[in-house]
Amino acid sequence: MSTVAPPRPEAVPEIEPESNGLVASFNSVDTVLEAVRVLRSGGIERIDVHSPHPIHGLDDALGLKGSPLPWGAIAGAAIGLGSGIWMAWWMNAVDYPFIISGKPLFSIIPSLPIAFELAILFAAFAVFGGAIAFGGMPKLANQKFRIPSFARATDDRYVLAVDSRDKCFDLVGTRALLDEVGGEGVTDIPPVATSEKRIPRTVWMAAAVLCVLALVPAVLIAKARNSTSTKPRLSFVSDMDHQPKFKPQTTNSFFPDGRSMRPQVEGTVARDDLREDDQYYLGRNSGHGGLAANAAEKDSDGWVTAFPLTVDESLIRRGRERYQIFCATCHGQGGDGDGLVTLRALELEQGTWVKPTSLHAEPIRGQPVGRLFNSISNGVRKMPGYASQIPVRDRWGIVAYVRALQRTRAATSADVPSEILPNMRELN
Amino acid sequence: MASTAGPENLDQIRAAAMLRISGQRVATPAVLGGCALATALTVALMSQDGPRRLAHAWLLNGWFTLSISLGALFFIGLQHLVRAGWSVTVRRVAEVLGASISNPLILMAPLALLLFFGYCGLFPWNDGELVASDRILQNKSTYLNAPFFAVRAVFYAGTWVFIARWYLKASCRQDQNGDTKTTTRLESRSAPILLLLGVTVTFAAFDWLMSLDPHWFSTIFGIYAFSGAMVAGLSVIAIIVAVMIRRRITEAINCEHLHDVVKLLYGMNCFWAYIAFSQYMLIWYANIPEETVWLKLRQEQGWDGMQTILAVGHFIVPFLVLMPRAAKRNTVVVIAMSMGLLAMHWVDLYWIIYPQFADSPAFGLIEVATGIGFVALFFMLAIKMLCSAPIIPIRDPRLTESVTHVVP
Ligand code: HEC
Repeated sequence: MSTVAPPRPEAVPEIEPESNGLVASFNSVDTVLEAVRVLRSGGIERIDVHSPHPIHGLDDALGLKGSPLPWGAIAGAAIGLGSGIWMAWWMNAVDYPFIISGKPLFSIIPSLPIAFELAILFAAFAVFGGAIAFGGMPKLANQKFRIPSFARATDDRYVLAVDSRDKCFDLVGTRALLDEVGGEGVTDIPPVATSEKRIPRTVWMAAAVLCVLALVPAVLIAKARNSTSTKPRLSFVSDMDHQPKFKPQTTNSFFPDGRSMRPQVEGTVARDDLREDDQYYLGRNSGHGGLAANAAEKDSDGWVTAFPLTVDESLIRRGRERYQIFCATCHGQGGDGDGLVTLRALELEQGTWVKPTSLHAEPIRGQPVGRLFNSISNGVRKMPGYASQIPVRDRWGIVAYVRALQRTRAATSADVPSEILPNMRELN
Repeated sequence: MASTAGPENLDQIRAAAMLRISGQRVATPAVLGGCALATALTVALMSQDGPRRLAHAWLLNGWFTLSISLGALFFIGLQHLVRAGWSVTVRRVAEVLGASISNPLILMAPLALLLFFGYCGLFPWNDGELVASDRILQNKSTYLNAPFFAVRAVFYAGTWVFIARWYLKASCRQDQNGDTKTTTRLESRSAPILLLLGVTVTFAAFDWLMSLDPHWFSTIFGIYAFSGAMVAGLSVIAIIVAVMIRRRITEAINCEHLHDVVKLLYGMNCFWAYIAFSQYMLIWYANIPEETVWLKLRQEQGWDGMQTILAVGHFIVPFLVLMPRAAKRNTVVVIAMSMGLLAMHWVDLYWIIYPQFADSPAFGLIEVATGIGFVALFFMLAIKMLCSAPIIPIRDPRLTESVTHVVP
């Protein structure tokens, strides 16, 4: 360690101005206002008044212009309003579109409360942040606090401060002026020491500790996300997690029969369950049997012979599509009873397999539409019913298509539209 | 604190407040109002659906003028309750407006009397046949029936007239004897009075406005009517104060008072919008037919436009125009905006009342004439009372505070 330490530079005393300005105390509002007027008429503009309470007319006397803060507030409110509406739109209509009780995905009406709240919040932020910024904060040191008499500005004195940077400021003249207008205890504002301009070590330390502490929650969350646990999860809103409500298939001592699922009250009909029209819903004229109709009934049992709804192209097309989905597997695309399932069953020589009836068989061709409808709804002997899978209208569509299929077998050239007829051969 | 009015100054102000406006001015509105109402009656009786329309126009304009008084009464009660100093000089205007309540009340009495003759053109629940065929109306008939309705109406009217007169009389007596105990008494009784006013206004709105559609109900409706009344009352106070400032009637009332009155008006108008929107949004959200039916009626056949007019004219425009400080202190802006708000309050009531019987918005001689009649007769009384008392409470213990009031 024999290196020669470089000669330490002489500590150069900082060239500091003798004074940063002057303060003077006044003991009444009127005198301080008068002092401000006198100073300003002498051309001094950089004046500040520290008072324990707001003073009417001080802004005018100091020549302060209206604060820009209200504009900040209105801008904050506008941003809040806009972002509230945008947020409601983006979340509900774009990111997670989900129709709730038939409401539109986005509507201005339910967005307004959140937009309103955000407008208030952002306006408050703007005012809060603006007030801090316009107040020149954060300020590490204020040299006026070094003046003992300044403390009374929060108590019973009005303290007037003149900044030395004012172009009309001159230490002797201004001091004399302040004495003249009745300022008490006129004092120099001491200059700020360089050390005071730096952020103290303790603040750095505290900030570092806080940063480290701020990582703790993040680390805990990351750990929880990447590990498994057998413990039940924490429930923060337990009355929402465990609601005192009755779930299906549970017991409940409140009712004498002990069921929490209540049977329908006698005589009530659920929405869309009335099904008054027997012809449409059962395929038979009213007065012939109830819901539990049996497919083995005779042709004479009042089956509907004409379609109880208008049959048009769209119905038949729908019927073809449904037929190919629900029926063709057994009955075959053409209705001959040669569907894939049937072919496979025959191939495997399944003894119990009953071959589906050909839809072109004479008895079936002669059946009234109501009976066909009933066969689809409730099934026939070995064929299961499809009422639970196929809605009523679609069932009628299938019947219409079956009729169309049947007609193809006995079709004559008169059944073919005249513009297609010449090209029939080519189509074949 | 800038300029403290010395005692001499105050005496001058007191002396000036005794000046009376010439009494002739009362005759003109009285004649005008009487003729207007007579015209409306004649026109209505000549056409077939005229009487029913007149009944609705009558109710509309009756409630319109009534709400000015109610707003003024709430204003007085509030000022006493919080022991406000600034508002002392404008309080007399409010007291006079409040005491003018008797005119619309008397004029509206026939509507209640008609119920006893089986008139059901206004309130369908008075129709015996309809009630017999309607389970809901049967269940409501213990409340909605002619005798009980009339008893309640008399109770509301009695309460309001009593309160209004008491405020004006006590204040005028203080003008003479300068008793500070009066002020203490006014303050301590204002709390129960405000409570009573709140309840009566709520139920009066249920009875007179909501029961026009007896199936429909909205629990916020009373507050809606209250907020509308506050806007109407404060608008009229603001107009009168602004006119007084322009005419330099007394130096005790100046832009500082106007500023604070308009601040209250501004706040209450936002409150109106808040309540109106709350009612709308909750009905929209719940989407229950028994509630939506009322709004559905008001969103079809030309009524839907009025909703937009209300949103823009009753809220957005005044909200933006009256926001700057300078606007609240400018008499021209304040008069224009307050007039606009009064018109909007009228439209608001029109939108509540008229769809109940008219297929589409109808506006004609009947509405205009009844409007002129009610407004003229209302202000006839107000002017008369304003002429027979000092225009400010000259011996109120807080008069100095009010005269020297400065908005920070
Ligand atoms: C699982 C295979 C299967 C499907 C799918 C199926 N069927 Fe059948 N179907 C049968 C069988 C098997 C029979 C003969 C039942 C018997 O005779 O025991 C039959 C019989 C019938 C009959 C004659 C009833 C009578 O009165 O004799 C008709 C009509 C019929 N099916 C129509 C349909 C229609 C339309 C569909 C589509 C909705 C359909 N089937 C779907 C297997 C099926």
